[in-house]
Amino acid sequence: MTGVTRTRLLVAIVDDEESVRTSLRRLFRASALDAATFASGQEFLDALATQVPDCLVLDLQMPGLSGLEVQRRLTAGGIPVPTIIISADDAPETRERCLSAGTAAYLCKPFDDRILLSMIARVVGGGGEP
Amino acid sequence: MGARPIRLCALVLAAILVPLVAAAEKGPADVVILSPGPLPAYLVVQERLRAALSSPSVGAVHIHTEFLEEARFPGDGYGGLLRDFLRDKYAGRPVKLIFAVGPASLNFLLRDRTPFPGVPVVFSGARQSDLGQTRLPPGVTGIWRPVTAAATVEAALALQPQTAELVVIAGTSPAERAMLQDTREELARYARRLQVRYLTDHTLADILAEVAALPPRAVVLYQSLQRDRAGNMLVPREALERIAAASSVPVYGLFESYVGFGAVGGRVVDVATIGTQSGDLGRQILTAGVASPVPPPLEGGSTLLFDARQLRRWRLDEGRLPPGSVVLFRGQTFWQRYAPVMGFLAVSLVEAGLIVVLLLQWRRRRRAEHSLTERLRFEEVLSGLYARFLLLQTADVEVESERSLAAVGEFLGVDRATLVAPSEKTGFMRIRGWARHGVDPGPAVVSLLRFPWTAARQRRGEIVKFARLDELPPQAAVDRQTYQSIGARSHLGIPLVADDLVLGTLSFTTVLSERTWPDELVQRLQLLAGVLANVLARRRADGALRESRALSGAIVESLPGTVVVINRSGAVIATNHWRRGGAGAGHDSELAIGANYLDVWRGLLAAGDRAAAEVLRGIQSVLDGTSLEVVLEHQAPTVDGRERDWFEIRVHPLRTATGGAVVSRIDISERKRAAADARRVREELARVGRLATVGQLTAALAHEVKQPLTGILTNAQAGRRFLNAPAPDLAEIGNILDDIVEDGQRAAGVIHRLRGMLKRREPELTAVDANRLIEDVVRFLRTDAVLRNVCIRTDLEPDVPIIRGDLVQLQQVLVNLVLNGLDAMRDTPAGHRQLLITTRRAGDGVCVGVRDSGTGLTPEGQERIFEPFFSSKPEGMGMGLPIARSIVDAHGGRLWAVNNTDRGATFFFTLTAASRSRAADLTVLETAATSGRRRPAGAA
Repeated sequence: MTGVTRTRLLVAIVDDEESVRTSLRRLFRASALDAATFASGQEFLDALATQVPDCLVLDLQMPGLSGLEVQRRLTAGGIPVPTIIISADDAPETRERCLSAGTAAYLCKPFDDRILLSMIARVVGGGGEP
Repeated sequence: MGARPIRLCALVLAAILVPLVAAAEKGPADVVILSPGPLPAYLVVQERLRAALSSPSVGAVHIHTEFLEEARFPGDGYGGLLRDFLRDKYAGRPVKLIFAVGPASLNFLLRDRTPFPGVPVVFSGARQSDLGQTRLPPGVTGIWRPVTAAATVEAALALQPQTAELVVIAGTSPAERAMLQDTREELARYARRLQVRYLTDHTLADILAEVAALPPRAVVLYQSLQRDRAGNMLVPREALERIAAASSVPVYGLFESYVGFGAVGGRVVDVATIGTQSGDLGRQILTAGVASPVPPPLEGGSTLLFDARQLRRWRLDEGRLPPGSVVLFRGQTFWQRYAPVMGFLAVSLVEAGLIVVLLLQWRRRRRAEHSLTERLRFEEVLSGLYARFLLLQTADVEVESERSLAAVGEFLGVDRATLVAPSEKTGFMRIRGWARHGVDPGPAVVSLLRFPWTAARQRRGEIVKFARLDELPPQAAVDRQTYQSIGARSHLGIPLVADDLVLGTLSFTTVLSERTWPDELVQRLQLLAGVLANVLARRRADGALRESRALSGAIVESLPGTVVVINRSGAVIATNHWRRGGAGAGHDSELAIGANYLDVWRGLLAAGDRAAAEVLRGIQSVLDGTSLEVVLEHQAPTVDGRERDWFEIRVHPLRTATGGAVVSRIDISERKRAAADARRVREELARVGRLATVGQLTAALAHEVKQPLTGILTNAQAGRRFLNAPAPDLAEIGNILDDIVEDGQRAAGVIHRLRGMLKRREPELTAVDANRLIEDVVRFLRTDAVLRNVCIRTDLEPDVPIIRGDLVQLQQVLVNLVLNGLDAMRDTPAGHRQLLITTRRAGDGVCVGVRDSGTGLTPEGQERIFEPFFSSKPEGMGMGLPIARSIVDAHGGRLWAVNNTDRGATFFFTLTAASRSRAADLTVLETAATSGRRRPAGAA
């Protein structure tokens, strides 16, 4: 926590898929949110030193560090960044695993933009998954 | 030779020298005479050498003669063998001296003296020019052959001053060529005065033709003709006889042995003198002992020698001969011979004793004439026989043999003249021939067991003869009984030997009375036996040839399809087509002996069959020698024009002197159809495998579709928000739409590829780059790999050879192997899941390796993984690898698996390069034959 006050919320996007990153960033900008994109979990974790986002949108299936792994490190490190995991995998076990690892919310791809944005609003506010 | 006084002196000398000699030499020494071959000139020299060594001063010597016969067997290999042979033969023997007769023998020794290290050599009749650059080493001496060409020409010019042209004849063997060098040098001085021509690289036939057509002012100088241009080996003086007989001008010769065989004469190398001179040198060396140096070489002798008969023939004046000339064959007229007798008669006719003397002389002469006549008559019979046999067809040999036996039998006055052919196989002797009228011909077949002694001798090629049964030795007791039983009283059996094979026996038997067999008669009959043996051997060879022809004819007849044998210009010389009954109109119907086979194909080409051009090219290239074998496939319309049949055409060269080719045309329609069926089945199976693969990839495929879909949806939703803003950023909206299009296409691509894998298709041969194939597959499977936390790496050798194959099927193989690898690493800890795909050049093809870090193969697995329905996975069908292997096999490659040394296993498969792929099983070959059904080359 750097204690920098921001006018707009900063949402970090971690996904290895470029079109997903680009489209999400557009979505957030169109919704008065700031977005920072990272192509890998490691990139994101390295950047935490300089800047901690208000929220994290995290893809699950990535080469290298998987989304679940990133979530575990965040949880273990006590870094209070609420996470929304987005995944093409819609298996219930996966959802359970992510939630137990500490993720705030789990969303399947492709998703509705309003649902995502409302989820972001809620988790940043401190609420968990309804 | 006046040997006696010389011998006396020698004995005295020997008495003085014996102690010294005995001290120097212990036991008989070995002397080796090396001679090129049994030619008359060399034989004379040998005789003189032996004579020289028979002197008592020399002591006991064993003389061995070895014939080199190198002129018959040119080449280094023979020389080496001969040296080894000589070395082994004379190893450990005390060889004290070697005579090298002729330049060839000397050269042989100078090249390599290992068979006789350190043994002194005396050469006879060589010249420095024969030795080339080699100098005589120490321990080698001899008698130089004098060069007499110029002196001979001088003598010819003395006899024929008007001479304007000189024709020189010499043969092609190395020794002759060397001698020719000296001859040319000597004759150089006549270049201005005479036109000099050299017939030194011609066949005997050519030479005979040339000399017959020479103009009157020419003369011939005959050096030698031992080997002619065609490689025929000749006896020089026999060749001379023919040349001199055919020549229209006088022939002068350089060797003594030529005088009397057609040469007018000349300054001749006195071969006999050279022999004696060499012998003397040799004797000096032997008596002097090992320590003394050898005496230096000397110049050999020569004489002016002429043939009176040839001088008379060409009307040459003997008075013009150079002084010192010797003239032979003067001959005497009848009066010159009998003048003394006539004179005597005239003086004292009354002396009865004279009359008796005359009568006796007369009778002696008559007897000599009679025996001469007999001999001549017999020789006439023989040459008549031989001439008749030469002209015979082999079928007539039997009949002619019997006739000849009858003639000889009558002539000799025997009762039976027979040919006996023993067969060790059957154990019997077949006897057939002639019997005098009224005489029992004897049995036609006799068991060998009844003639054991005779049969043994026959086998060894020995003569059997007896004038009386009592003459037979005791060990021939059984034979004697048999001879008696067949009525033989005197018998002569001469073996028929050809090429070291005993073919049988020529036998003469008397039944009515006894008779002796004088040696002269036996010798003459041996000549006859030689002729018959020759003929019989030829007959055997002919029979064998006919058999082999019949055999090959039968083979050709039995071959399937049409076989045509053509000569170099394409004319049919043999064919079996009449058997096939017109299979393939337009082709077989045109075949006839003598017709041009190439015209058949030209006709087809003209009628619109474009593939015929390739066939024509193929046949022509074999006829030209540019190809060793051509295999083509050709489609021809069937007789009823329905479906087009496939033929395989093979063209092989015909390896005879005149060239040609053998063309076979086999109907492979069945084979093609079967192959097509197999292809279809294999493709069906492969498709099933792909279905299964797709099933395995469902999650990955779903993932791959969801990604672009997410992008599309999110982008569109973002776009909607942008539009709702007060001042919409149209540029950004444009970007959004672009990205949507791209993602849409990506998703479509996944569906497209999926469809490609699942649809029914025909296999297609295209050029495939293995590296690109692997990159595509890796891209395709990346998602799955990510899902399973596997790191896929590649190590691809750049520029591997391009393969020919079906892209979809090859992709399937690779996908299968990669998925198998991923499966194998299921139980491996997440960080250690590595899959490595490699390509390497292998010969002119590619070897691909898929290496995992999984559990590896069990021993059972190693053997059985390629078996259908064998699966290590509970949900597996077990068909992936068998299908993969069948695909690789159809491509002419191999698929196998090995365990890695560290962990996991590697699957390798090889594929051959474009030019060599026997991927004929895959699809229709792209020959011009598929006009109308031509397949477009598929895109990768």
